[in-house]
Amino acid sequence: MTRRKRDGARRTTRVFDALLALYSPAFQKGYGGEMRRVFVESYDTISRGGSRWTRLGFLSRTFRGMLVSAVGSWFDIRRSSPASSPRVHRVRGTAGAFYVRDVVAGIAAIVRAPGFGVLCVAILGLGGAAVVTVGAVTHATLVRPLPYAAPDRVVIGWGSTSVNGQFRDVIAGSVAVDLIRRNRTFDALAAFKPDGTVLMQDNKPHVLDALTVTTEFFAALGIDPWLGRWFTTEEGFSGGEPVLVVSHAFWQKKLNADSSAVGRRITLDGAAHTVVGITGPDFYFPFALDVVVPLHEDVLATHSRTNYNYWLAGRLHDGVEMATASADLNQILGAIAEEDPRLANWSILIEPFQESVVQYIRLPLLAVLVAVGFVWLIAIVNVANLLLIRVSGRQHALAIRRALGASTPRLAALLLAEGATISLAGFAIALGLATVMLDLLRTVMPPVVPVPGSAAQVALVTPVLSWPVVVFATLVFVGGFAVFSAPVLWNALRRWETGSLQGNSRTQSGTRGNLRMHDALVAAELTLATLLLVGAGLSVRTTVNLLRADSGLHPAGVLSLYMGDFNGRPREDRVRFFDGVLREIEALPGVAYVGLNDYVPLQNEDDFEGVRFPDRPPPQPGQGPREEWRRVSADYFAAAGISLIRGRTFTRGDDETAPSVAVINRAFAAKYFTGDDPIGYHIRVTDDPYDLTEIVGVVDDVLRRGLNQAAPPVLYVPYQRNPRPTMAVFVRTDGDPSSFAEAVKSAIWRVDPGQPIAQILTLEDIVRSSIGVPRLTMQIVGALASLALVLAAVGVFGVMAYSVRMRRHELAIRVAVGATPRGIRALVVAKDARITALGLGMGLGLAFLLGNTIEGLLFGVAPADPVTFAGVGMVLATVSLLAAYIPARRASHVDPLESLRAE
Amino acid sequence: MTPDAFLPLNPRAYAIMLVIADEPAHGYRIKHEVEERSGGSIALDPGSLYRTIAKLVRDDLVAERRAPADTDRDDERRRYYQLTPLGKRVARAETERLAALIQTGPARALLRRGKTA
Repeated sequence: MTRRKRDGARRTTRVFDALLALYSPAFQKGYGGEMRRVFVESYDTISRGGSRWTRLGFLSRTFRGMLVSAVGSWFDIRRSSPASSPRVHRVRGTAGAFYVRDVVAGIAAIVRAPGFGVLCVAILGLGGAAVVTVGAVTHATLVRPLPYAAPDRVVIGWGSTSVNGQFRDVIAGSVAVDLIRRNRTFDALAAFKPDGTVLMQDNKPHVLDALTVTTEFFAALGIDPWLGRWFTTEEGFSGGEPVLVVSHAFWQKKLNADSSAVGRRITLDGAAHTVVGITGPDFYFPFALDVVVPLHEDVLATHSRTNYNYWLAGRLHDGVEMATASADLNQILGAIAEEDPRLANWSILIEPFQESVVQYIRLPLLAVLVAVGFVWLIAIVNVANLLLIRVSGRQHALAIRRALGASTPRLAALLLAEGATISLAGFAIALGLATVMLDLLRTVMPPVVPVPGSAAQVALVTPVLSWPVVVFATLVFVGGFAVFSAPVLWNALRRWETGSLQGNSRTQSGTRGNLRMHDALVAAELTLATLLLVGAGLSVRTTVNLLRADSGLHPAGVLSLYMGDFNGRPREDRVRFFDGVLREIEALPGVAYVGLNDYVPLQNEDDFEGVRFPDRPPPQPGQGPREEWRRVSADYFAAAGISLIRGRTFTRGDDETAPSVAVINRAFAAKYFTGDDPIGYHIRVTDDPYDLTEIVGVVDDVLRRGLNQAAPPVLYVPYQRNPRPTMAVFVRTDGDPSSFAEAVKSAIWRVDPGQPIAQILTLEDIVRSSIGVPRLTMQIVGALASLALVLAAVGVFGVMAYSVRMRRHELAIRVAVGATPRGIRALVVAKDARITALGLGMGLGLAFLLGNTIEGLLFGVAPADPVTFAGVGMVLATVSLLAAYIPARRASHVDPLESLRAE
Repeated sequence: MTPDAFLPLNPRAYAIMLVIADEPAHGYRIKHEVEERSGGSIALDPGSLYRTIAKLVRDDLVAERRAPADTDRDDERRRYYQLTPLGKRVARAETERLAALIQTGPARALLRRGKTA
């Protein structure tokens, strides 16, 4: 044998082994080895004598045959030998014992014919696992109250302004202090702000997630420390001891889970702080935190009222309505605004904590919930169908029992026992699979999701398989059991009433009605599957569109990171450091451009500054426009890949010594310069060092708030006049950007080894994670739709197989009077085509009608997208016809002699 | 149970039973013989071969047998199958049934027409 032939033989054997794995385990055990031998020998003979075409023909015949009998091997009911007598003869004992015996018989029936049982259990297990997983996520995020005392009284407070549509914005520290001191509706009210802080450990600066809070913060949440205590009032004023509370995770990671950690001193931002308390392991707050540091109320009170920085967390007085508290706070704010008209169009929005956290994911989660509900319905319909088929196959046995005097309730118990056994096994599998799926989900869930109308990004509660979820799953399975048992019982009971059970299945009078019921169930399954597939198709197209959408950036090859912490350090120090960093990184081989920006785009960050137009009528106090602004370095646009549309971008020369210049984006130009040429216009920026600024260029928009939202107007200015204490650097490389991380880090530390570096990411990762929720929705809905498709195919297969069996007599006559196998196949397939057309038509029609309910989840694709509809139609029709083909083939092998025998 | 309860036999099962009526044979031989005797009109892939054998074994029509004494070493370890006494009676009954069928008027008419066509 040549080597090529040997390789070919090895490959074909591998295919054979794969097919062999599809057989039922019992069959494999009994005959697998022998089958393999027969195959190898036959293949040898063919290869030796025949041409390549003979060989291919042989393989195709063999593999097709193998596939068909693989499916069959699962359905082969292990009949007891014909000689043994029916069990009913041995029935003896009390009525109660009869029931027990029937239940045992029901279970035994399943165990004896594992193919059927395995199929049903697999259907319920897979469908149930999807239900339980989504149920756990829903419970964790939408249903379960946050782990705070009396959580319905815990609220979050936002500053709301009509000027820029940020209705969940921050408020100034001084305003927060006024609200904290003067409110009459809160047991506790606190200002908080997520912040970064720098921990020096092993001579390396580590950036920590810090939450700065006023001292009533923990009282507002209503939680107790796990170890130690929370803050005292004195610690919330300047002159108080510098202290901090650490998270349980931080205590484990950085304090080595040391039980004497309380009282230890930690150096944060260059100052020693004493650890006074540790949060519990289950502590949840929607903003990431390693440490919590007290704010000084007296310092906050001196902040400018337009220095917006803080959100509020509060605990309502018992019995106080949300609206009352809102009126209370807004009345205080109104009083402040009378003194200070800059706050005239601001209000305070308070809402339940949970509400604000789940805002962004509610709609996608509801869509997934509906999808999973559909999958469960399909699974139930499938099991109902299979049970109906099975019962009809056992009519004879049931008729014997009936004849021997078994009561209707006893027969019902027998039928129910089977369904109950299947449900129990499916339930166990569903719970097991769900734990695996939840583990998987935890790794792919986006760590934070944006809050609409806000710069906030919040972490979701981690879903777990808790008791309420298990109870929910139990109810779902009990409900499912009731639903799929009902048609079986109804069908059987009706038959007993009419006495038709005694009949021979071939001349069954109820067969027609029965088939209609099966057909209807399958059509319903196909309808649901169509809806799910349309949903999945639209979701896939949305994600693809989002990924392809022009974010305004050219992210390939770009590395970005945050660096520096110059809080309280003069402008000169900042500029010296950032300039030095630019020079050091530029000198690295493989680096094309380096740029600075205060923020990384697409991460829901915002930073607003007032803008004025000197030649236009001045705005009312408090009504002046505020727009996003970004302080950037000359090469930022080149580094991030933002294209210039008109004029010029910045040069190195546009520093603090040169005239103040600005670049605006397309949205800014569209908002303020419709028809006019903005180039050369002088705009006033309320940040003093910039003041009167000449617009020198227009650049393209960057879609800031996730790709699926319109770009806001942005004003870019050179950073040198007033750099932020922390800035993001963007490095455009000629290779894999992540391989530059180490070189960039050491370049920064060559300038100043004490400066922290955080969030090292490629720009491509940033673009990708900005659509994390839609992508995850797509993956989940896609998985559910695939499951639905498989289940629907099983349903079609089951019913077609059943219908062929019921019509065997008729088909045999057709063969006897001259129908060809092809004709018979066409007959069966045509029946399937009718059901498929019905299900598909209803599904597509419903999808069309329900389309606009999910419009909010779509991007760049209409709910009635013709491509999706056509694709779904093709996929579903193909799968359904394939599923009908095996029974059709079997039908075409009907032995015509059978009809003669039956006469 | 009477042999009649098993009739009519699936053509594949019948063909297999004919091969192993008198002496035991292993899978490959059964396949080879069936295909050759039927002139290729009955094709047996390993799956349908063993599914049919499994069914026959379950119905007590076929049983596993030890390899014949003159088998060489390599073939000794294979599984051999042969008809049981019940299997033999069933095979005979099926043969009689088919023969009787062919003797009927309509069947003869069909055959005649087949020849002239």
